[in-house]
Amino acid sequence: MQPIIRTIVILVSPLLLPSCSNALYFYETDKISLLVEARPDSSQPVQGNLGLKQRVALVTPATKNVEGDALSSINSFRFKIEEEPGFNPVTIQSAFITGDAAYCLNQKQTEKAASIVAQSGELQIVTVAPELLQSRRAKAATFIKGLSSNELDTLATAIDKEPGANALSDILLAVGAANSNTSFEVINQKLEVLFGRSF
Amino acid sequence: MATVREATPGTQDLSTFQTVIQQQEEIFGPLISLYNEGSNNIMTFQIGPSPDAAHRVIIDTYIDHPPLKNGFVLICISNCLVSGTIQSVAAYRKKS
Repeated sequence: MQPIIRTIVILVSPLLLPSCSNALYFYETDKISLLVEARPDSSQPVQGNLGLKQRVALVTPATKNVEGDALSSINSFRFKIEEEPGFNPVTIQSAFITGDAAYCLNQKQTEKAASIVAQSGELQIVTVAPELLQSRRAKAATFIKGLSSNELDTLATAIDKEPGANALSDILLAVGAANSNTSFEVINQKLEVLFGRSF
Repeated sequence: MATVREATPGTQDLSTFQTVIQQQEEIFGPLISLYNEGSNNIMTFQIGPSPDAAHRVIIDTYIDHPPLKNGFVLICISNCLVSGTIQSVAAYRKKS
């Protein structure tokens, strides 16, 4: 009963706040059920059933483009079964972006953003680097951490990363993931061209 | 405080896992947390000055409660995959 009341309150609340004409209301519930059935008869296999139910309610202000969709928000959802031997873990990722970030995108950008946001939980996998390469990476990282914001933006663009607030993180992640001389050389060459420094 | 997260395979032995952490500390800055996710271990680093060689993180496995190490500060504890098996892991850093 309580979830129903909560849903009604959330859906009705926009009507009670007419002064907040630019507000956006978002409601999401996720329910996951797992059923495993085993029988005494050994000839019968163990059966399992995984169910997922997601309900999303969104009240959003219309965009200026009255002919198109009211895309002032983007909700992205991703369901992935990990490919591992034995029991396969299931990863469910959901992302939500709104405001100018969602409002200003065209259709192609929207698709790309939704895809990126939903996959942002995936981390790069790193392993041990050879000693000499590690020494070069460490020296390059020290130099990069001393760059100004503008220099970081320039370097980020040069190695196909987004300039801006996350430029330093993204560049360092690229350095950390450069596990061979070949992949590190891509960054090293940009450092040499842009700043006259080679590592 | 900007942080970054990276994954490293849980099949690695303790020594290799520690080397990965120390190498990434040289790039990003100090390790602040560890945890296991699926078949990988996740490392979180704080972006900033990297610790020198004497002050990079060392990790050890433990049972029940992480032991105190003389001259070291406990950074974090977590259940991590070591050689493919979940174990309690503690990360320490030498006191400055």
